[in-house]
Amino acid sequence: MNKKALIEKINKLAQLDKKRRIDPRYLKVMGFLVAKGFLYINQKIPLNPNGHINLKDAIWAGRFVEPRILEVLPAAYERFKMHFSGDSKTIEKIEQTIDCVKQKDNHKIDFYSISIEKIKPWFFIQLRDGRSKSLDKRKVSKTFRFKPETVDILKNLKDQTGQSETEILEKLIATAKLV
Amino acid sequence: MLHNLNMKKVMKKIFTDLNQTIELENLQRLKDGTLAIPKSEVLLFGQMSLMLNDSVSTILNLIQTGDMDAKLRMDYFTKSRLLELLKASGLVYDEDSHLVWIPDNAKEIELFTFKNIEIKMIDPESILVSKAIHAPEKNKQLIRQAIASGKFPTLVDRIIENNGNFEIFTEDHIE
Repeated sequence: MNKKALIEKINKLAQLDKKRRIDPRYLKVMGFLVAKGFLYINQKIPLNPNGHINLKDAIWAGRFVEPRILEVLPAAYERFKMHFSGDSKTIEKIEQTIDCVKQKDNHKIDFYSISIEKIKPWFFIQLRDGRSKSLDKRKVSKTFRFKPETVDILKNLKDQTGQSETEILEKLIATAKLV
Repeated sequence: MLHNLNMKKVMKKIFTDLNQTIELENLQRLKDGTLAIPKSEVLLFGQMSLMLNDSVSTILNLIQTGDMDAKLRMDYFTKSRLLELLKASGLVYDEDSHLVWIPDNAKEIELFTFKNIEIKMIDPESILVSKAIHAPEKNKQLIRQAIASGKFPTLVDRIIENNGNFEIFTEDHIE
């Protein structure tokens, strides 16, 4: 194809891109991702912070309109799972990607041609709602078996300081780390 | 509810706060008789620089993640504070920024100037050339819109000159 023909084809596709930018599927997913703080946009769009997103629509919007949607989608799904639905195959694919990020395995898979390195940072950002916690700030449940005497000491410390048992243990561990 | 968060306001606030932090630190250092922090420089590129450029913002539909690509010339203290300020706004500095390729003839445009820090950005057409050459898949809709707008007169020639793969922009979607 010569330069003129290529530009003509590009112009036609640009018109198609323009139509797709007003597609309700795209607007809905962008409204959600912008409202939550995963993406920024220079146009006015209706915000959709409480909306329900079909993963099939989000992936369509990522593949056909804005690839950055695919970059943040696994992190958005991981933090706001209740807002998403999809078929088992799509959920499996997105959860595999999330596992890869959690296991710090950067090279095994990609998500619709987006590498794990590009996907990973958005699991750790501070979001606009200030409520949902990023992956590195989330508490992890762990079970320990203490002597009854240790449990009594912990309870006493809790009563004396007004701190939770977890806070007391975390402070002790942080101090031990510094030594 | 409509939304267009003004990225320029966000970035101006971040750099205003950074300038103030350096100012306070320098006052303390003056009292202590230690060396003051030299003036810092930030050269922005990537999607952030397009977003911050008012003339481009009216032509192109821009979407960005919280990623800030930039060349930083600053000391450790200043960089640490900048990273904290970015994080507090949900933004992230891309530590791989040094890998970003900038084409020849790129121009630097002044964005904000403060007493302790100067912020510049690369001209938009050069950013688009860089994206077209090194991340065409991710930016194909953006490049198509830029070409179709006719507002970047030498964009096509510069992509060709730099051995860009034009066929990618004629493909419809990511596989």
